[in-house]
Parts: sequence; C-alpha cells; structure tokens
Amino acid sequence: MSFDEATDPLKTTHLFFGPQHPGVTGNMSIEMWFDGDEITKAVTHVGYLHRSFEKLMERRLWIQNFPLVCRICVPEPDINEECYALAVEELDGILIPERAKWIRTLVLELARLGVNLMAFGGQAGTIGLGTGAMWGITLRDFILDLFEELTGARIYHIYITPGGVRRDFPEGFSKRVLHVLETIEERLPEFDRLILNNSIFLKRTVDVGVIPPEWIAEYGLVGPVARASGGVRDVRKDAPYEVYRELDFEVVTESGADIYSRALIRRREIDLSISLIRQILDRMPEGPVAVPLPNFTEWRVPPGEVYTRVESSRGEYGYYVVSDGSLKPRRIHVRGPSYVHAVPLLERMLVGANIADVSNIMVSLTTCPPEIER
Amino acid sequence: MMDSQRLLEQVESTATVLQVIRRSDGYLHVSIGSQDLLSCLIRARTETGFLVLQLISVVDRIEDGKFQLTYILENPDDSSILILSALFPREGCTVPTLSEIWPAAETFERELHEMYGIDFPGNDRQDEEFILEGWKDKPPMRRDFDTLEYSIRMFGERWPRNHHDPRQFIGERVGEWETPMSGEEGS
Repeated sequence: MSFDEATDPLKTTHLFFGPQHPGVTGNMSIEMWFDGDEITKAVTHVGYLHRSFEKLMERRLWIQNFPLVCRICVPEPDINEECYALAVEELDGILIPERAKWIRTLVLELARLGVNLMAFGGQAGTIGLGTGAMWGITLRDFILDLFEELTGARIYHIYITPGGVRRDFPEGFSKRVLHVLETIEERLPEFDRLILNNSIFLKRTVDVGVIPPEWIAEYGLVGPVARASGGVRDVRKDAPYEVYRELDFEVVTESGADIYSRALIRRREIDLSISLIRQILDRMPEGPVAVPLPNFTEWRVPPGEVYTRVESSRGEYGYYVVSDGSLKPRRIHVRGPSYVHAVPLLERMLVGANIADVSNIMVSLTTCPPEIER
Repeated sequence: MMDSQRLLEQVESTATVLQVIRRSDGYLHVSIGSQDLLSCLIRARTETGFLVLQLISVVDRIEDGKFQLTYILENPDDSSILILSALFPREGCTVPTLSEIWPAAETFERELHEMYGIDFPGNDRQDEEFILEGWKDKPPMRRDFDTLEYSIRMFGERWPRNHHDPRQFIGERVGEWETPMSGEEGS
C-alpha cells in the first residue's frame, strides 16, 4: 500500500492513541490511520517526557550524575546505575569488592523480578483482566518494601555507585528477601490460572502481534521480545557482568513469536529471577561493599570511551560514555531497548493490526518512552 | 566471542585504522577515516556477522571543528561488539545514511539530525520531528548551544529572588524566640 493510500482522508480515519490514554505505556502517542478496524499506517510520537538527561549529564560532575541516571527508567532504575557505574569503573580502572558484585546482582534481579511481575499482570490488564494487573503491582510492592529497607528509597535507589554499593545489608535482610520470594511463589499458581489458562487471554494473545525471527537482527531486537521469537540473546549469558558467570541458569526462550509467548517469557523470567536470587543469597561472601573513591569535587576520570551493557527486563541496555579527562563527562549516550521496540518495530507491527490490539501489542513490547527521549 | 586481534585484522583489511580506542575479549573500538566508514560498516555486516546496529552516536569535538560519529555493531551469534568511529567536518556535516541497510538506523539518524543538525541524505524521514516539537533554534545537543541564553530569551529573566535568613524571616512572622544559642550570640 502506498503512502497516499494508507493515509487517504477519504478512505481512512485518523486518530491519536495517547499520550493520555490508560492503554499507553508511559507518555507517548501513536498517530494512526485505519480503514475500518485495520490500521493502515502508524507513527510513534515521543518527546512528551524529554528532560534532556544527556545534555544535563555533560554539565555535572561525575558523581552528580548518579542521582540523575536512575530517573531515566521509573520501573527499573537500577540498570542505569549499573551501566553508568560499570562505565566509570572501566574508564578509571576501579575494581570493586567481591561482596559488592553479589549485592549488585541481587539488586538487579530484585528489580527485574518486580518489573516482570508488573509487566506480566499488566499484559492481562490491557485486555480487561484488571485483577491480574493489580496482583502484579501488589506483589511488586513487597519488593519495593525491600528496596526501601536496603536503600532508603522505593523507586530511585541511587544505591549502585562507582566502587561498589552505598551500604551493606541491614540486619536480617536476607531472611526478609527469602520471605518475600516465598510469598510471591505461593501466589504464582493462582496468577497462572488467572492469566495463562484464561480463554479470553488466549484468544487475544495467541497469534496476535507476531514478530518474525528475521526481524531480530534487522531491527536489533533484544530481551523478551527477541527471546519470544526464538532468539537466544541475553547479556547475562552472552557477556556476563558482575557474578552472572558464576550462577547456574539457562536463557529462557519461546518460539511462538506472539504476545502470548512474550507473556510466557516474562512469567518464566519470574521463576528465573527467584532462582537466581536464592543462589546469590546462598553464596554471598562476606567483606567490604565499596572501595574509597577520589574527592568527588576533584575527580577527573581518565580520557577514554567505553560502551557498557547489561540485561534489563526489556533487553540489552547500554551506555556509551566518553571522558576527555575533565571533571565532567564529555558525552553519555543511553541506548535503551525501547528505542527500536517502540519506534521502528511498533510502527511496522501495527500495520495490518486490529485497532483493539494496539494497547495489547504495545504492552507486550514493554516500551518505556523515557529511555527513548532521555 | 571473537578474538579482538582477529577482528582488528578484518577491519584493517577494509579501512585504515587511525587509532585503537579500546579492546578486550569480544570488544573492539577503533577510529577509522570517514571515507572508509560506509564500506567498513557494510563489510562488517555482510562478511563478519555484525548484523545488529546497536547505536549511532555523536560526540561534538567542537575544539577540532569535527563531529565524531560512532557506530556500535553487535554480532548476535557470539555477542561481540565492534565500534567504529570516524570524524566528519562539523559545519555542513553530511554523513551517508544506513537506513537502507539497517531499518533501525532511520530512527537514530532522525534523532541526530534533530539534535546535532547532521544531514543524512537518503533518509526519507530525517526531517520529521522526533523528540523536539517546532524547534527553530540551533540543534540543542551541540556544545555551542547556550542553554542559559536560550532559557532567558524564551522564558525571560528569572524573577528577582530574595534570600531570607530563616531566623529573621520566621522572626518577622512569629516574633523573636529563644534558642539554646541565643545567649552566646547575644554576648
């Protein structure tokens, strides 16, 4: 279909979906043209949440960027702290203590668990199963309680800093983590019955929003989106950071390539995160959790460039950091998975889709607009 | 993961490597001449398995009058990273588009066109607004974009700000009060 036909005002209806719509993930909108119920063209619009993080970071001391980077992603801020810390440590040659590596890995898995609980329930929420969404948010809240105890904050933790982590576990923290895991596990079978065995959910997700495997390389798809289409891509396994090399796990994959498969990946990721957290708690070494850093006001990170990456709940997440040896970074470029998932991929996926499936498809990609706009 | 030495030899067979910026197992970052960039990227994709374009980034080297374009590629089979950087003249910067080779490049280039004013001929969507809306000023991510001057011009000077000593300020409202330090200060 040519451009003119897809947007022909005599044949198509023109509609904005978002930025203020309960079915939209974050603050973004999709401009759509559709013929009957079928979408003929879709254009993603972002910028509603642009706060110019990257420009701000060029004007702040290296340490001052730590309270800033976490704000790029609300549901999972820790990956930003981790990427930035890894980059600064790589450029400055800082080696962190062994215990700090284990704690960081635990924090990253707790954050991933929280996001996957919310995303798995949220997928059901897009088709009217609001109970699933509420259950997901409730279970995630137990994890936020843990973060509050460990870091002092529920959302923006500013906990992973260069040289290690900000503080050690409080007394009895490991037991409370295990208790939360048990609480979550008790509810998971009910969660499964509510969502995965639900005929409405199956009808609305199986063979809907299919992503062919060849698109994985074409668009650079990562995380659950790629793994649900058979792609075996996971930075935790492919380029292990922190202590993932020492943990026993397999990359979770599915082959259905549809929304159901992506939901299934998130459900299985919940099990994987619980298993990894237990392994970490079992093997956590004793020792210091941070090394001393230079005077923050005089800290000049040696000149250099580095690209660091971690596996977020949405897939590979990277930071390209450039230092010119001054007190402030020369350039920081954040590469979140939503950049390709929400713009070129979503625009292509929506052509030919039913208008009722827009929210369903969008949430299955767990797009996060702040990491596009930065 | 691919050995970085082998990777470097493959890059050197296509382009003149000006500098090895960083290398480790499965990770190579090199600087090459701008004239070799396109051929090197295409060869990395077609012959070396770097099928995924992770990122196109720019560093504004204003002191040298250059833009440093950086392309981050990934080999999905072994997760190796190849980063190619090249310098282009800052004024009237024109860089060949990769949108025909990697569909994802279209979006990266749209953003760089908007934020740095770099021209990507052949990218049909580079003039579409991406993040900014109705932006008529200098591209804001350039180092010479003066954020304070722009802010004052667009939104005016900040209102005069009075600074108050909290004790004096509260004292005016609620009257003087005794503090443990009052006696020492008074003496």
